[in-house]
Amino acid sequence: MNAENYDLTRVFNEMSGWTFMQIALVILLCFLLYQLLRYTVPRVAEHLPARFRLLALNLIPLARLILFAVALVTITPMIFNVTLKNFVLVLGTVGVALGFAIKDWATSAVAGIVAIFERPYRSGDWIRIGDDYGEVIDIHTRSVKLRTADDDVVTIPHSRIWSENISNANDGSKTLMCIAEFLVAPDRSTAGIIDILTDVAHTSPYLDWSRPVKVIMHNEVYATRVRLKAYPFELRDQFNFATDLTTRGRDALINADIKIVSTPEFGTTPN
Amino acid sequence: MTTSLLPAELVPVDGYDWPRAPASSSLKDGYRRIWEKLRVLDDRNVDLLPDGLERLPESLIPDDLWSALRAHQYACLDRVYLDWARRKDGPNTVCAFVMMPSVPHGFLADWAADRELDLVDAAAVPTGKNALIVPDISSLVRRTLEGRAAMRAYLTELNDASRNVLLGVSSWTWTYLAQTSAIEAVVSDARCFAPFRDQDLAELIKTHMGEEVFKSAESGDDILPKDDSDEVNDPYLKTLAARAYGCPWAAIRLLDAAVKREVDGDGEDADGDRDGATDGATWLQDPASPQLPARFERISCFLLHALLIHGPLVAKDVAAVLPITIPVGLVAALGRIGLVDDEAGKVSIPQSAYPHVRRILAEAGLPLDQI
Repeated sequence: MNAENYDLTRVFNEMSGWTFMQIALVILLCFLLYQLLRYTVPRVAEHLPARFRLLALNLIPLARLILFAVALVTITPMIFNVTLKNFVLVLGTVGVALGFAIKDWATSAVAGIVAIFERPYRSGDWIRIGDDYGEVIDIHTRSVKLRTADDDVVTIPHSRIWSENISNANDGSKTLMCIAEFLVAPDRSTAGIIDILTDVAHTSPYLDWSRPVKVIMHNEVYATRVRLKAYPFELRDQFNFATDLTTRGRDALINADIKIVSTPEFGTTPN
Repeated sequence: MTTSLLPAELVPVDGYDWPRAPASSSLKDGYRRIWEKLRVLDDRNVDLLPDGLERLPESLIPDDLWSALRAHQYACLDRVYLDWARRKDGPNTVCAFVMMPSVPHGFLADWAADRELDLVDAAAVPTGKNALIVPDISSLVRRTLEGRAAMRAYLTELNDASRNVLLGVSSWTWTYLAQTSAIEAVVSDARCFAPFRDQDLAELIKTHMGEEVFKSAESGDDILPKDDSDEVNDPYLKTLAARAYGCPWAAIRLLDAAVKREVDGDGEDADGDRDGATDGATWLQDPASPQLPARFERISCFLLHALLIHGPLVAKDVAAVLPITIPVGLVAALGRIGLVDDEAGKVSIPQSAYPHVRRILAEAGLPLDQI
């Protein structure tokens, strides 16, 4: 009994007011440094050459991990008497209880660490998780934040990477494929469609010249679905680019006497 | 008078090797530009500069330097194209001569007129025996559906031409056409001037401005090699060559824009003792890089990009090639910072602004030219 008491008392270091102050200072310092980076890096990244922007943004989660590790390594010896025996003792006694209490948070936090190294998404990527599609604007310890095209911010826990497919449209590169779709009448010749739509893409100011432009057609019951695929040179232009391809593509097809299929008008039937 | 030490060949466009700035200069320059963009840094390093320096109201570059450079580059064209252009038999080929927008307007037209070669300024190939020179096809290229149809018809005509054809084309137009049309299948050979590096610029400056002592405001050192040594110690010229993308015209204009001299009438230099050699020196301090108008950066980039591909455009043509509404006053705002000229409604990029414009577009991530 005495031996057990002795071991337990040696698990913790003597805590004074100054120790608490030191711990608070370390936490505050790491927190402030992280907030400073979160505030500064995205603003500086906006002014960096485009090719360095995503790189700079991805420093934030890495910095958070490093600061967390620094805080942990600094604070732990202040509280605990760090020996292998004590480590096993603490893990055995509080590990299970703590595990149950913060299970979900811990799962997401571990998934967040995995996400930093496995990189299913990075800051600035355009990803789809479930029904949500948007730009990764922030990666926290527990969750990732997306900004959708409608300017909604969606917070998704990292733990979703264990169970769901993550679709990443650009995967760290500075461009992604955009698609404009057209439904044309299936009973007409399709001659000229590929050339017209390829020209539409080649005349867009948003186009990344170095990437291929493709036109794919697919027969469906009521129409031929035509998909124009091309890449903008800048991720953020994807919706402008798709709009430009769609509006000018539709006009060009109509001007070339290619019939765009639309749903029939279901008006009131004359008596 | 030219010197045989300058690059004399024309190089394939695909093999153009840009001069590189020393890594330390690039880092320093990048750091400075970020602070300038954040509107934190307004003035450049002035620690080493003597007092009383001012920018000169007139150009320091003598006319004979420009004439010599022109004569040298004409000789380069002669060596590659003149015999071929005067040939009346043999297989017919279409060649392209690709120029940076910093090369003076009408350069190829002047060369061809001087050699009495056939010139045509339209998308047509009239019959004839000698080679046909098309001085600049940029004005014939329009990034519209109609423009692409016209370009396809022109390429077909070039492909069936019964004479040699030399197309003069801007590097931006060439890259756009090469990536989005069949021009590389029609053109058998595309060349451009070889890049001028630091030694070449030093040679050019020494030959025509040998009496000047140029000092870098960054280091305080002489930018030209001492005595007859070919070794350039100061990184200024290396950086200059890189900033001009190897184009001597752009490099000399940038150097001219950086010139600062004492204007004190009595010639006394208050800080003359600091380095002991400032008397009569011409200091080179690069002016601050022009910044695009805040909140109109993106649209400005699109406009500058279109002007590089198509050359000078009137407002109607801008609207045709750029399906984005240009805000009222944007052209005037860009004109105030020297990035565009607006002459009688025709908007263009001044040759002296080209290095800045290319850098701005590169930083914004727009598709760039090949040279």
